Amino acid sequence: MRVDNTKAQMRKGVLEYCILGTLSQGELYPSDIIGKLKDAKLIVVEGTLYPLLTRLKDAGLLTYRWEESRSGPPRKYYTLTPVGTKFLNELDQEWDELMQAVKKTTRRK
Amino acid sequence: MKKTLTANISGTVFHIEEDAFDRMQRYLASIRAQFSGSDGREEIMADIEARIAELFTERLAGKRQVLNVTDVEHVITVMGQPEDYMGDAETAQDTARPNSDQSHHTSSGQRRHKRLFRDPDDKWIGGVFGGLSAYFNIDPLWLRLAFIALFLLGKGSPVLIYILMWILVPKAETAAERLMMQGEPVTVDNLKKTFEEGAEKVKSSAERMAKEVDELGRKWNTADGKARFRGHADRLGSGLGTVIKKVIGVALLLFGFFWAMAMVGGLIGTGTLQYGSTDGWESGGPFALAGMLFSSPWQSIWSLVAVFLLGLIPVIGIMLGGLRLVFETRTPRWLGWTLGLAWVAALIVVIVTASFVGADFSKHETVDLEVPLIQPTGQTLYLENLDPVGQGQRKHFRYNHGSVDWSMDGFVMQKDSIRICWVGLDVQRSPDSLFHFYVERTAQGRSYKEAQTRASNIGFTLQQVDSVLFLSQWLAFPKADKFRVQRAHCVIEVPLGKAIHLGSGTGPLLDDIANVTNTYDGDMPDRTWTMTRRGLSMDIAPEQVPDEVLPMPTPPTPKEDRTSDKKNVPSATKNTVVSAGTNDRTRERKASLMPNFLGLMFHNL
Repeated sequence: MRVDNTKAQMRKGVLEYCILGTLSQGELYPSDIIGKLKDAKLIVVEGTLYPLLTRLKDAGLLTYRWEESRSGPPRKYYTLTPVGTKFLNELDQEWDELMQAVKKTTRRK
Repeated sequence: MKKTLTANISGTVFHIEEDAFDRMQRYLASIRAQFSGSDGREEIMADIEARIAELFTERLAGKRQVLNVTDVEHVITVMGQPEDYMGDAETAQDTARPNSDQSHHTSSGQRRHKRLFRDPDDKWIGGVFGGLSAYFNIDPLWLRLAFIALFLLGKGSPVLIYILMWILVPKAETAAERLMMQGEPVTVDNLKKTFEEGAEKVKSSAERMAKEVDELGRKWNTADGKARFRGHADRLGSGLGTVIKKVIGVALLLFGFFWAMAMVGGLIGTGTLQYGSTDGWESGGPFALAGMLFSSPWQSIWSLVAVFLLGLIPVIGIMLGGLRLVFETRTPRWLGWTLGLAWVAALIVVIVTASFVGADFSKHETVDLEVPLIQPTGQTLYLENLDPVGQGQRKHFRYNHGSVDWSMDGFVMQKDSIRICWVGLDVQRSPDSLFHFYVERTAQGRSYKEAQTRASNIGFTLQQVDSVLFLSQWLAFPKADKFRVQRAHCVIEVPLGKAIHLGSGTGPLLDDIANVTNTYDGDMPDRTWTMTRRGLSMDIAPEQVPDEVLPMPTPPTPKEDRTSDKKNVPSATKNTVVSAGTNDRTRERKASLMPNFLGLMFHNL
């Protein structure tokens, strides 16, 4: 078992949570989301994001509107739906609990 | 100098160098292949393309005109390798799954996913078997042989299944799909290999590439389901559709053409009825035949036209259908209506006239007549057929050299009389010691009176020379009587202990004659039959007196009196009996009665 693999798995596990998190402050378009995720080193390549966004949208957690762009094609701006907000809150709670659990179980003296 | 292409990516036009274009093309195709299983493929691809367009725009930044390979590589670096796309999504989905699955779904997203496609590179018709063979890993030759064998065995369903699969199974259009078809894992390495190995197969010509790009572009610009559906419809409409449509159309046209030819030939064709070689007969054709059947000329014309239309209108319909398929014309609506109405009208006319004619056949009546015979001097009466051998067989229809001409032997229409070869003969036991000859003539009509009149109008020919009786199979009746199943049934009564010799030509006359050996009619001629108490027998000779062998006169030329010395024979040994043609309903006992219309009957006497 390689440590890189495990690391990647861990990051990927929280990716959806983080995408929802970036949108909790307001609407964004994919490049913005990518920027934030890249900064946090959660993703390396942009391609990963698109299937996830589509899937979250199809699950009813996200919605989008089209906006014309001065340079290039029109952009999709994503926002959380009420369902998405609720979903995110639950994940927040879960994350806190998980953090506690990790801290408790992995604490070494 | 480098060649550049113009690419439309998500609505933005880019000039792109050829090699960069190819690279981009392959990249998009392999991404597409990654999402081939998911529902949102078109949407995801649209998003990705939009992002790529954005990245390209940033790269050019208004300073450069043309995208090159470096730009494409940059975009790929930013966007990630094809494996990264599905890998994350898959893994994200897989978090709920047991850990054991993880070994199959490595982070690279490499999957052995085989799908059924039609193989455009290995095809005879639609590439169905090529794809199936790739899917099941069999040589397509066996599948094709099996298909042909099934087809030859008369099982039509394989064709239907093939056509269905042609429509439903998508064609492996991109390199990624080709790989999936063959079951190789879709990785960039493999894709590259495919491209490099089968350069001419996949992207040899620029046109082919351009076409693929065009198609891809079109697909990406439409919604997923729509594009898919339209793709299928297009394929049906273009490839398979046109070929099959044309073939069916041509077949319909040919079929209709020959049918119409046959019908016209039947109506005005030559020699529809073969009347034989005798002169003075009217020309034939269905009109003459109809004239015999229908009571008025109008009726016959109407019904013939109606029957003709009944047959012809469907032909016209079939030919119109064929034209529509072959030339893609449209049949005007009024034409269909007119044809339909004409057909129904024709049907009504046919039904009405048929019922009229049917009524004319509703009653039937029989008229009996005894013709006195000269009793033979010996024990045996000799019966011969008056007609030359081979002429006047029983009626039959003949299919003539593949044409619809049909002829009816044993049926003759003369200027004002009709002759039918329809005389039957039975032999029964006489109640006394004399030979007797009776005729039962039957006809049909609207009323009994009509039928009776017709029956008594029936003439037949009987001639006796000494002990030899000549009977004709032909009966005749006036043409004005129409054909109303006129027939004559003769009975010869043979007294006990006497015999009748059935001549060799009498076969066609015999009508189910009872005998002790149950000998079939066809085997009865050419023998002497003695009337015993049990019935006719060919084994017992007439009792007491040995047969007097009488010289056989050659019919039907009149002979000199050779038996005038015999006491009970009248001075004229030739005794011709013809009965017909009077409206007198009493039994006729006159020996000689020859109405005008029968004059021709004796042309051969």
